[in-house]
Amino acid sequence: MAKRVIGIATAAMVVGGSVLSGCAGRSGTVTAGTAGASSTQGSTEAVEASFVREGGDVLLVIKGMSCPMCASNIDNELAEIPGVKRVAVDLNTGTVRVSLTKGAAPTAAQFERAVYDSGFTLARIERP
Amino acid sequence: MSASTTRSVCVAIATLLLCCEPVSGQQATRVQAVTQPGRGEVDATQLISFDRYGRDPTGAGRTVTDLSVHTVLRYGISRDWSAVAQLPIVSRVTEMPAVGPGDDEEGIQGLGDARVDLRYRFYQHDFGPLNTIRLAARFGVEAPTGARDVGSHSWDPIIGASAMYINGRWGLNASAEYKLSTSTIRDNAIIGSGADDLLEFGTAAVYRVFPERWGNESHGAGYIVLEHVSRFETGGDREVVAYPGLLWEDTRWAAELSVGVPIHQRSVDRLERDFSLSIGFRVLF
Repeated sequence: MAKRVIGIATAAMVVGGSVLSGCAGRSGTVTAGTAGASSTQGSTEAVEASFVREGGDVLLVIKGMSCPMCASNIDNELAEIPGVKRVAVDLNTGTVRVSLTKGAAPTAAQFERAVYDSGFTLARIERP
Repeated sequence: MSASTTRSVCVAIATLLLCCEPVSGQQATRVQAVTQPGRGEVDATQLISFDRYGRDPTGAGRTVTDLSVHTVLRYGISRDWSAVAQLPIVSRVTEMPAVGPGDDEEGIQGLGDARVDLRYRFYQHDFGPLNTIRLAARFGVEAPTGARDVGSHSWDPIIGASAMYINGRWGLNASAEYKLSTSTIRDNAIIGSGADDLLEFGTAAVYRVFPERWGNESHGAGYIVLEHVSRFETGGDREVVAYPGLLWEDTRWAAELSVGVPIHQRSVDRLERDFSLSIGFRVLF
């Protein structure tokens, strides 16, 4: 069962896009549209592959998370995705760090759907 | 404090303890915010209110003291649709000057009028980590579940809309609704529960005082809340009430306190409000 952490993650847990740019070959980014939209499918496949290969964490950049308790919506939705071990919300940066179990292979579409159903807007998905 | 009031306090506290459920935060106490549980999620809010009405325009010298516990359950049907059920428990004590050896106090305890709403968020624009603009419409009905002299004893349809704007530390909400009363009972006690239709309009500003920025050591947030609610009845009665208050929201719970101060009141034969005091709890399991 996924361990859920609602609230404010430490800054050190969140890696921004500028850091990712220095990790060529180990990071990926998906620019999200409407949940389930076909416009994201092409870039999604590349990230899906890296999820399987590396496991580890995924960083969701989200808009509209206005408070810690509101963010519990997204926490609950993400926890339902198979392979999600831990969720940490950082309201300051609007990011959600999702820790995956080893070998877990959730798709970008699953993350996108979870954020959409939570009532927020997913800007992009990053690999820290 | 009278015996009936004491009993009411016990009922309120017991109900509160039994009914704590997950809720959402970042919303003012009275003015409807455009927030809802996620799909398939249920949350609840409980608000204990103490309202004192002591200005009797008829000169009869009546006073009414209401102690009420409002339980609000919300269910996320989908991303943009939600259902809301509200059930008040009311204890009302009416006091009149004694004119003889009889009792000068009458107490009523029981359910108030329950309400069910269907809400649809038809616009949402998220433009930053915290920032958002949202609009919602709601359609509801107030059911005749109220006890004697507490409810309208009628099915009253309600239509309304809400707007929410959050930018950084500021949150602004506005809400309006119209209740079409089908009741034939003229409630002489409280505005909004009689035979006249009711237009209610409210605004709320929520400002995050602490922390200035979310950081590593942040575990909760303190807000200053200022609400205003205007109630206009088609019969001419009206009131405008300001509700300054405080809200503390942690990651697992929230608590709020507000005081109602009447700004303007006009009534022919109804009691006018002296003040209100409300304490709310939100717990996330």
